Amino acid sequence: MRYAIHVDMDAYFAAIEQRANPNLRGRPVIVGGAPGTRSAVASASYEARAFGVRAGMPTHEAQRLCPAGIFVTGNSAHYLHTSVRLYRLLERFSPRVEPASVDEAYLEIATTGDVRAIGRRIMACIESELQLTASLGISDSKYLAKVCSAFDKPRGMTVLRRADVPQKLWPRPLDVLFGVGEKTALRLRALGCATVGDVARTPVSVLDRELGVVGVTLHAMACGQDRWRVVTPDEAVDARSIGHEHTLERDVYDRSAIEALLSELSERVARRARRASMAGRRVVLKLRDPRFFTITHGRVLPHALDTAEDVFAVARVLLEESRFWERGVRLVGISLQMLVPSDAARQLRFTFAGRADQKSPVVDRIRAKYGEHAIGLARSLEAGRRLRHAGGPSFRPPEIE
Amino acid sequence: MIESIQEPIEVLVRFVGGRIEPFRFRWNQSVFRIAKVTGAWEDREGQYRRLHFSVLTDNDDYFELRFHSGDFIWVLSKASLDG
Repeated sequence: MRYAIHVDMDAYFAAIEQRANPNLRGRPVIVGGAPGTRSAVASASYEARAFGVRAGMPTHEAQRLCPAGIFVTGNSAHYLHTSVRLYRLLERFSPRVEPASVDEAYLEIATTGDVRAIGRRIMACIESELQLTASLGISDSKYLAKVCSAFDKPRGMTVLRRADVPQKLWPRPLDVLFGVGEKTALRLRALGCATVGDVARTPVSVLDRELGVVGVTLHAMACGQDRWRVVTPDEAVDARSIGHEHTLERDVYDRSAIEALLSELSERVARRARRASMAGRRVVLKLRDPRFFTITHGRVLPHALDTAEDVFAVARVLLEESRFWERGVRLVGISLQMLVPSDAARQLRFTFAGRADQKSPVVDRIRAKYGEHAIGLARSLEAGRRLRHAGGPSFRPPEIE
Repeated sequence: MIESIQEPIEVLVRFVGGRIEPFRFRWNQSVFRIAKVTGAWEDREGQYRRLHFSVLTDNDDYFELRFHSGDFIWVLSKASLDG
C-alpha cells in the first residue's frame, strides 16, 4: 500500500526560538518584527496563540492581544538550517521526500505494515533529534494527507483514507479545503454550502458556473479526489535561474552607465521571477570585456528576492566589488538563482510591509496595461537611451489599450 | 528581552569531532562560561561562511555568538540577560 505523509512542524519559528533559548519555553513567544513597526507576526508559540495571536497578524495587534508576549526578531538562517536537518531526517524513512516549505514536507511510503507505527517513529525522531514537534497527516492521497495533518495539532497524527472521506471530512467546515479563504467561503455559503460534504453533494456544473475552475477543483477535493503526487527536488521542474543579459552597441567604460543598464536588467529579471511566483537567493552579475573575457560574480543572500530594487542593490554591490568595468564592458547580465516559491520566500523575510514588496504588483499591473516600459526605476532611463540607440527591445512606446 | 548587541568579543572554543564548540567568552570585561550550546547554524556573507551559536551560560543568560570565516572575528550578536 502506498501512503502520503504530510509532516507539518508545530509553531515552527517560535519553537526553534524556544529550543535555542530555554528561558522562552512555556512563554508566549511571537516571532516577527518589533512592536510599533509596520511588520507582521511570522509565527506564534501555542502559549501566544491562546491569546488569539496568529501568523500574518500585524505586530501591534498581536501586542494588544498579548501584552506579555515576548517579541523575537526572526532568524531565517537558523530556520533554514533546521529545515535541511528535517529533510535529511525524513529521507531516512523514504527516498521520496518533497520539501513543501520551510516547515512542512511530504513523504511517499510504500508498506504492507502499520503506517501509524512509521508515523510514530517519524514524530519520535523529530522530537529526539531536533527537539521540535510535528503533526502528521497520513493518507492514500497527498491532498488528504495535507488536509488531515491540521486536524490534531500540535503533536497529533491523523490517518484519513479516501474511503473515510464522507465520514471524517464531510462534516468539517469549508476552510479545511485547500484554497478556501473568506471570499470563496462566502460564495460557497451563498450556494448553500456550510460543510465540505455540502460542496461534495453540490453538482459540479453548479460549482463550475459559479466559481469556474476553482469550483471544479474544490468539488474534487471535497470528494477526496486529487492528482497531487509527491515530487522530489530531482523531479521538480528545472527552473534553476532567471536571467537577462545585454550586449552593448559600443564598449562602455562609464560605471554609472553600466549601473543604469543593470537597473533595467534587474527590473526585467525581477518581473519574470514574480510572473513565475519565484524568488531567488543568489544574484549573479556577468560582465564581458572588449576582448571577450567574461567574469561572473555572485552572492548568496539570507533572503530570496523578487523586486527590482533588491536585485539592483545587490548587483550594484557586485559591480563595485568586481571593478571589472574599468576594463571596459561589452556585455552585462544579471541572473537570479537558487529559486524558491515566492510564498516560502516571504514567509522567511519578516518585513511583510516592505515598500518594494507592496509596490511591485502595482508596477506589474501598470506594465501589463500600458506596456513594458511605461514605468521603471529612474536610474534605468539612461540605460533606456542606451538600449534604444542600440536598437534593443527596451523603451518601446507604451502599448495603450 | 532579547537585545541586538553586535560587538566584537573574545571566545575560547574546542574543536570536537569536526565541530566548533565555544565554551567561554569575554564581553564587557566579564568572562562568561558557556553551560550549553543550544543551537548551531550557518549562513554566508558573500564567499564567507558565518557560524552562529546560541548558548546558555551558567547563570541561564542567553547569548548568540557569530564567527566570520573571512576576518576570523567573533561577534556577540544577541543577548538576553533576564534569564
